[in-house]
Amino acid sequence: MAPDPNTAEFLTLVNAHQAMLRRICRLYCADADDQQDLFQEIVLQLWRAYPRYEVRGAKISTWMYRIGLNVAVSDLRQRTRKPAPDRLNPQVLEVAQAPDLGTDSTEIATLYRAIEWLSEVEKAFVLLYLEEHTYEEMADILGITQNNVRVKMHRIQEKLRKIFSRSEQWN
Amino acid sequence: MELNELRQMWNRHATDEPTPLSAHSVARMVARKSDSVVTRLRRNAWWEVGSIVYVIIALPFGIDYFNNQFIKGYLLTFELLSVAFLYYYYRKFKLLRRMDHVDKDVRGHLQTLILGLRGLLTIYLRLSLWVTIAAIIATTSYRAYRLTLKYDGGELFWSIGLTVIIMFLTGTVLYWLMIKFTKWYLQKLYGQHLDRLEGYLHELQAE
Repeated sequence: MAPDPNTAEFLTLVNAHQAMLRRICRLYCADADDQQDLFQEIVLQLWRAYPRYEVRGAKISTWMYRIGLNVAVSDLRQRTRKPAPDRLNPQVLEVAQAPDLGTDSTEIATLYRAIEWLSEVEKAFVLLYLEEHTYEEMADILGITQNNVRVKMHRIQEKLRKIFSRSEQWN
Repeated sequence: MELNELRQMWNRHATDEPTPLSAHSVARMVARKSDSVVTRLRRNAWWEVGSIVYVIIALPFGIDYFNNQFIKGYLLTFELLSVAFLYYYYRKFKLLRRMDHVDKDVRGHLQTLILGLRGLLTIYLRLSLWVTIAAIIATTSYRAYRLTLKYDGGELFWSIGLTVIIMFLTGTVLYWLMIKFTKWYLQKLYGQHLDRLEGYLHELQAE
């Protein structure tokens, strides 16, 4: 398919949501090169899907989150470089060892490191929650029921609580 | 730490706006080759189609070169089979095109990828099946023809019967080996990715 979207319109769209797309990449890839690769892949997939956007009629941000998460979750590269942990292990204590880049940087780095211990699917839930999406919107983006979102968020909260409490014990 | 606190923490840092991208850098991004698994599968499929087209072009020269009618028939069988393979590749590309749509919800996208990958596995297994059947039929016919030159009457009947039984048994073993090999090869090629996608889907759907 040869997409022919209005370039200026697409550029405006990407720039308006660039921060959001970068956050998806940061959440799914710890390495800066991987983040850039993933960002470029998401932009490419957005470009390819853009001609179909009008027909779907979904909210543009919802549509962009779908594509961003689909690319990030189904992408093979970062998994081959850094396998996702399937359970909490002693290495989780690295959460507390974020680089000292000032109070704010350390705070967000700690959060990212905690999220790294979640599965790829759980990361999608956390991202959407942190980005202020309602359970209804999360259910729409993820394609599951609101009740399922609620159950999953409860489990993720428990998991994150464990991660943070272990990191505090280490401190 | 509660999720609300994490959200507050997140929001304190989510306000930083990155430098806007230029039209040139976005143009470069959309012009690059995709790294997605579907693109890689499509690239491999084009290589395979290239090899088949090469065979389709080369086989008529072989048919013309050999004088033996049955070798000609043998090569012609593979020529027709290679042409028929193109239909399978048409189906494969159709599947890949469907897998390329990333604007569905996450669950729908995972389901499409899984179904697509499973569909590709089926296509490969069918290709193996047809290659084996064609090879067995062609070889059996060739051997039967040779027997008609040596024997006649009841002896010919039993010789051909024995050949058919031997070829059937050989074909069964060969087919079993082909399927084993194809499954092993496909597991190596797509298996890990498919297992992971199925794991994600299961995790997403489980309540």
